Amino acid sequence: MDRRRVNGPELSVAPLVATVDAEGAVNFVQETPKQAFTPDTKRQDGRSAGDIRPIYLRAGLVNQASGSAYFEQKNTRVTCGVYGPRQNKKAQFNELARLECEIKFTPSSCEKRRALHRDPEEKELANFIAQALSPAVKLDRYPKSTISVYISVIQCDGWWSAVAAAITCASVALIDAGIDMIDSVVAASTLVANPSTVLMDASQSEEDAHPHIDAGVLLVAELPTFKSITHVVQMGKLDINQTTKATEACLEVCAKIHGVVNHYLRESVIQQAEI
Amino acid sequence: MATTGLISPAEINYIREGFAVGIRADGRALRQYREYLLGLDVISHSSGSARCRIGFGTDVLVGVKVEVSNIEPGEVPNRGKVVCNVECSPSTTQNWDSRAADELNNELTQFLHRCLNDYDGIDLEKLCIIPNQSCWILYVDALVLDFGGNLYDTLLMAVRAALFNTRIPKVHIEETGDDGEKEFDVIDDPEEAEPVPGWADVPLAVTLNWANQTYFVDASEMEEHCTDAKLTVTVNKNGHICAIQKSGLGAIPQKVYPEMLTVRIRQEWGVPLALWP
Amino acid sequence: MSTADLPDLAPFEQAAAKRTEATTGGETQLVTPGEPITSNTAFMRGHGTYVEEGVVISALAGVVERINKLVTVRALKARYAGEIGDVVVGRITSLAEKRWRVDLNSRQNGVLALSSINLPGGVQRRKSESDELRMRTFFAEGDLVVAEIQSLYGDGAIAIHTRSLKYGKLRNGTLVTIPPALVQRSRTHFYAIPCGVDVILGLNGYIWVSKHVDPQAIEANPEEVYSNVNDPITAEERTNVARVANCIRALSRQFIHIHDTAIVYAYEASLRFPISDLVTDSVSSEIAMEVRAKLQS
Repeated sequence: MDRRRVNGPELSVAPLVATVDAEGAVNFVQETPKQAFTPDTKRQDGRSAGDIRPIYLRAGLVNQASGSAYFEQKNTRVTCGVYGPRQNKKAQFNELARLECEIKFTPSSCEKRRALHRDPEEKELANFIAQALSPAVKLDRYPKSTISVYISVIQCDGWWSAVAAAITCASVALIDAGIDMIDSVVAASTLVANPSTVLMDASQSEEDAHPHIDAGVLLVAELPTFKSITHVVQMGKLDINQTTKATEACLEVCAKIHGVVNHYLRESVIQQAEI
Repeated sequence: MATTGLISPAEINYIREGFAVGIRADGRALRQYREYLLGLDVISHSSGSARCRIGFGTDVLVGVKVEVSNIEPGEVPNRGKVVCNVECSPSTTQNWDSRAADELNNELTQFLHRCLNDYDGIDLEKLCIIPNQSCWILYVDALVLDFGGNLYDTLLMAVRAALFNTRIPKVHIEETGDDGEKEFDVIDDPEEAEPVPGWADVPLAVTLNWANQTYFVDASEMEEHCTDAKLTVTVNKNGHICAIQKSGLGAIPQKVYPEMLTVRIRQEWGVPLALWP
Repeated sequence: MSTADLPDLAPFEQAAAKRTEATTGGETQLVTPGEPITSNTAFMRGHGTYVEEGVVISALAGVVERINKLVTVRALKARYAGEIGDVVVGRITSLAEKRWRVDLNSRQNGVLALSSINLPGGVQRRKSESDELRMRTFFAEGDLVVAEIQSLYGDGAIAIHTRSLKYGKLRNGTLVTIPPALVQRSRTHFYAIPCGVDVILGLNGYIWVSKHVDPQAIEANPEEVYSNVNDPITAEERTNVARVANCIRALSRQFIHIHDTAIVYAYEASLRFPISDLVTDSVSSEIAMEVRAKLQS
């Protein structure tokens, strides 16, 4: 029990939604029924299966950090600050720089309130993100140093799309910090609803409509120029064809996101040069 | 033994060159596992247990305990629960950085949690006793007794074996009132106990290590120091991929990635028939 | 499912029983801590023993050894205790001012002073400040060295030196770690096994197995002493190194002293098995039996 802060009630209840049935009677139901996606319907927000939500990207918003970035995809909002390279705290010599990573979903970012301290899930995600970014950073350029990446997910609309956003955002922040990179890192996630619908960049309501029992989730991070996969996570049972198809779809989207990132970086360099 | 994660450039080069020609430092082929020992029913106080030791290195002990738990409001009303924990025993990790050990514990726990909870392996619905009231909870606790590389694969082998070995008591359900209220009794007869529903669908893992433009299985501790990236693929007995997870600080080229997914458990591991029907 | 399909329930117990079978049988006196060895006052107490009321008592679990009047107990698995002149293999763990710290599997760290190495360019060159700044180019963290023990400090620390062409950085091979008790002091610790493999038996239990390099080639090119790059290694050399390394592992698992004859016998006995099988219980005990028989004849 956290006594230093005002705590919300232990139990929260979803608001009732009024619906009108055929006879004109008003009913109150707990929530709108979640609809599974079928190929002939559009998705709830009007996208088709392969579309991602529009991306808004800005770098250099945090003055304190060596580099920073803000990444937005509709209701998914992520910021990232990069500190370093700075000298290792420990005296031990290391030829490669250490890339350390922290990710925090802010308490109000998800439907359920999240704890203030970092939970095991976030610690693991931090690991994932560090592993996804490391291949791109020229760690050998910075012996004896540490590069710290701090990510906050301000709002999360789809768990895995938020993680993908965090990876892309962190890579932009690293570039903004002027750290040597061999390539940028872009990531995309997808929800594979059985039998073979590949929903790119799934939102929270889509994730809820397809619990893991009948769907798989795949997240791929890649170096777009080098055509190398820096991270991949799959959960949920898929056969190999579904996995391959989903991976290909993710890589295709990665290429699109890379286009956006690249365009933005170019623009920002031109802008800075003019100032 | 006395390795502190230090390795010389010449050793790294020797091991990596070995991958390129297909001769590993201990004489194995690239797709060859070390000999492994598997023991069942090693902890008498548990509902099921197993120990898997690969080579003379990695040693994982898994105990499963089955208990009755309440289904709280807000939880899925008709599913049982699986709670996982993986811990590297302090006696194995003394040479490591304390943070590295914590990170590894967390990584393995989360991995196992995803493997057992998030797809249709263990039949969680059959673990429900009375919807909205009571269910079985499976505590899967793994202890890493010794470390010699390839922890993921060994862990999943031990977990699958322990679940195979687990028995859940039968319950007797009776309605107590007209309003559909139910009560149950746990039948205390070990002869009457049943296997874990869906244990056979729990996957095994094969970790493919990417190094020097090729990949190999079952890395020893030294080989793991020379690996660029690892790809853990878990496959169930129908050949479905249940989870994929990359780890390590390197990248895997897109070209070889699809090929790496085509692992066949029986060929890689040589699993005993009883465990892989 | 029939019971015949069930995996064996007790492979660990069986493996343990097999190992004990293989190790007992010699006429050695085994003792445990607190066990009286002799009350004969003519004996002198050595390492691993203490005297209580005139009785020599063991302080270790191990084998009793008698050299004339001196009684010592040697544990099968203990940290290495160095002696001046020992050949050891060690791993550099860190750099300090004008010296390296070396892991020697001993109670305290080993120390390799900058003044105890051969500097490149001339055997007797004086060391300069620039050498101090370039220390990591000679030996860096993780590097393996073969060296000789120069002196021992009172606190158990060991000073080593590499001032000879046969000592220095190790390349072209692989490290095998065994209990130090299995390596005995002998005239030389550098062996060339006939199959084209060099073995360096470090008395601290670290054994370096590498492809054969002609000693004259090293003398001809002393600049290469600090190289990190391996020579080209053929597939045959690689398999032989792997086989010898696994032979040593097999012998050590069966508690056989490691020396050149034992390695050669084990190598010969191993030829009918695939290399990767050598470390399994069944094959290693079979090889051990053959080696024991040959050593006794």
